[in-house]
Amino acid sequence: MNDLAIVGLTVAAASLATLFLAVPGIAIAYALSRYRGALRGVIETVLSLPLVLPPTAVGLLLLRALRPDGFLGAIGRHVVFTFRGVVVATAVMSLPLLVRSARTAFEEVDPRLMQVARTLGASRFAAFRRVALPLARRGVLAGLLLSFSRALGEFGATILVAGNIEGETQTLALAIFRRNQAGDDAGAMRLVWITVALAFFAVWTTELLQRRRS
Amino acid sequence: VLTRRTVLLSLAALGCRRSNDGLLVFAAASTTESMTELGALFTQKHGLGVRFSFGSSGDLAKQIESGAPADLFLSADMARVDALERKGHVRSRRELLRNRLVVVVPAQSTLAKLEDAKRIAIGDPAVVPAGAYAKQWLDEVHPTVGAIVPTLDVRAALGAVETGAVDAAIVYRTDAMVGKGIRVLYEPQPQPNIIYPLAVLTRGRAEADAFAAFASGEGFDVFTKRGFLPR
Repeated sequence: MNDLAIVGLTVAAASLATLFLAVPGIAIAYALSRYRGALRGVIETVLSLPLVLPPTAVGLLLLRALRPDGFLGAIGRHVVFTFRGVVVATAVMSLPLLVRSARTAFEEVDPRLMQVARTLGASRFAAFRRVALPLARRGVLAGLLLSFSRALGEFGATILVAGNIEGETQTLALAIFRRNQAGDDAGAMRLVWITVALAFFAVWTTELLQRRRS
Repeated sequence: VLTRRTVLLSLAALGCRRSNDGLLVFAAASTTESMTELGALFTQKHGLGVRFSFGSSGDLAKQIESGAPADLFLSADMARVDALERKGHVRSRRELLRNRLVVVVPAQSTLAKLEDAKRIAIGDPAVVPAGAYAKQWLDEVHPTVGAIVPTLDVRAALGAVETGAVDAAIVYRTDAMVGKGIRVLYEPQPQPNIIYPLAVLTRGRAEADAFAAFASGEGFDVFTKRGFLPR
């Protein structure tokens, strides 16, 4: 498996994961920024768990749910140990980063602007789409980029849910591991430099977005 | 917006397409070079792509049990395939290869006997057959050797000797043949009976049977020239 194909596979998986996350992630972030109920703390904590749990723990929970005898087995059987498994595992691991970043951005939107929009006849969704989202767009974009960066480097959940199949589920992180294990130091280091470049680019873009906001 | 959507759609297409191409073969890490070549030969002959996942037989068996869509499984021990067969995952099987254990050390090592090694790498006996064979032999013959460093698969044990991270490792003869900067100290005695069964899995496509026949027939050279013994 050549380096470029591994990069392509990794970027494709991370892009798809971020893409699938975008709508539910932004919706959850927005809902949380409005919601003031008693369960707010609990919901936020549960959503943040993938950030602090060992990725292998999240991976095992996902695998148990998705494998053929799991409670999501009907869909899961088409997911585990395939490219889709990579997308699902990295999406779950990346979700908290998007939600946290976007939620903060939505909370910074002046609620009076939303009220004005509503009094001027905008529906709830129109107020979100035409006022809150444009005002929070840098935070939302930064969240998407952070999710993408996380998805690029995810290892623990991916190897449990999707295995380490060359050309199918072997992302950069897994290929580095595999090559190091197999004693291919030079090959592993080439991939390390590629990931450094990719991560630098993604994080730097995020920084630019966040700096311009403040 | 149109171009962005095009990019997203092609990404989505990529995501859906991948898993339906060709055969997916799970194989013991020790067969990496042989199976990669066998796959290329099979593709040349039959025009069907073959993808691989190499790892410890224990990990791979666990993944098959958890629903991995593999067509074939080449295991470094019989027990894994027996267990999969009991659970209905095996359509057919054949004993394909035999192998032998060796003790390897860094090429410039002055180590004379295994008892002098401080750290010995073997595959994690719980998931790596080579490690299980090695552990069994150590327990019988050298119950008081230095610290055992368990590794993820047999190739990682080999890698640990290549980089000098450990003083010795117990790997297959065939691993020692592809190792760099190492030498064989000696062959453990008595040798365990190491057999590699090749299983066509229940969910394997029809072409999987052709691959199994190819592996034990026309393509068998890829194994013997790398030091595997015929069954």
